[in-house]
Amino acid sequence: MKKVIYVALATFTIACTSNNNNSSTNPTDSTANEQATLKAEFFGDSITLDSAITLEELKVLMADKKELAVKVTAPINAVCKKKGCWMELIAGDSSTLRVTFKDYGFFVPKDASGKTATILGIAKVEETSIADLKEYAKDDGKSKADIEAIKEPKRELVFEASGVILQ
Amino acid sequence: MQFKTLFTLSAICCLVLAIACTNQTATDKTIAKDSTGIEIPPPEVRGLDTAESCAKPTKYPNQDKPMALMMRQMADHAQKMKDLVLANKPITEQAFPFIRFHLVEPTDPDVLQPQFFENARLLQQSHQAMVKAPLAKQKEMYTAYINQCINCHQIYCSGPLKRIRKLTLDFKE
Repeated sequence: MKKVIYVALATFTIACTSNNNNSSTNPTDSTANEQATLKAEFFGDSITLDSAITLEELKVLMADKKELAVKVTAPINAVCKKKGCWMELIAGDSSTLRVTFKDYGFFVPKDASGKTATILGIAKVEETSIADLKEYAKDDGKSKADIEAIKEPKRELVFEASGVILQ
Repeated sequence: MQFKTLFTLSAICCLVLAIACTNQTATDKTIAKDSTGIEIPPPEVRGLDTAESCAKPTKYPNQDKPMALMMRQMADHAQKMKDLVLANKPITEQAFPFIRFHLVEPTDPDVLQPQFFENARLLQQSHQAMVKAPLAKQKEMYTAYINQCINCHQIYCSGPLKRIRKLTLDFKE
């Protein structure tokens, strides 16, 4: 008889404990996830975070291509300080990728440097003119001497993004 | 007697489990608590952004200067003018007045040089020629107007050049 009572009490305790655990964890987890997603900022076209490759992977893919539609994620190294009209992403090997925004149709916050960007768009190898290189340097707050030292165009990998997520 | 007691206790156990499960389901549907133990209703109840509603993208997050805002308006006008020209319809001054962008604050004050104001004067001249031209001449005048935009942006702010080139009549992707 006593055994039966013990079993009943144990069952009751387990049921209560399980109930308490659930009430204290599930909603909290879901709130934490929501908050993480809410921290993301979206610019340009609506895009998602999935299936993005790293900057290093992009460079490997572009070794034998002139143009590629792709989604990339990488930290932001610099942003146009005047308008937020371009940004520069940085790879693990310190190489960088300049990102402009399709049709000058959207910008990113000027203080976005240090965040991680996920970008969807077209990667291209093209020549950047001396005038453009000087303008980028000026937008980046480089010194007059640094700007005047730019004497040659640069053939480089660049990116035109149609959508950006910042985290 | 023993069987009866066993049966009653089993029934109580089942009842307790059933109540526990019901409470659990109800709890799942409500409610997180903050650090002070106050219940936090779900975001949709609070009227806050959920992950989905938050995904609405922004276009221009920085406080842009008036000249940049006017340039955007000019770009919108130019796109509409291009569509009209291609459809062989007239561009009128009433619909597309000249926007005096050169009189307001620019993003970069360094652009305010004599050459910049001369370029603005030339642009206004080409705008007048375009809106006053007979329909047969509008393609030519529109092209001259867009070329003025390109000439100036090659000197002062090359960022929008790609977009401006898309406004030329012969642009192909």
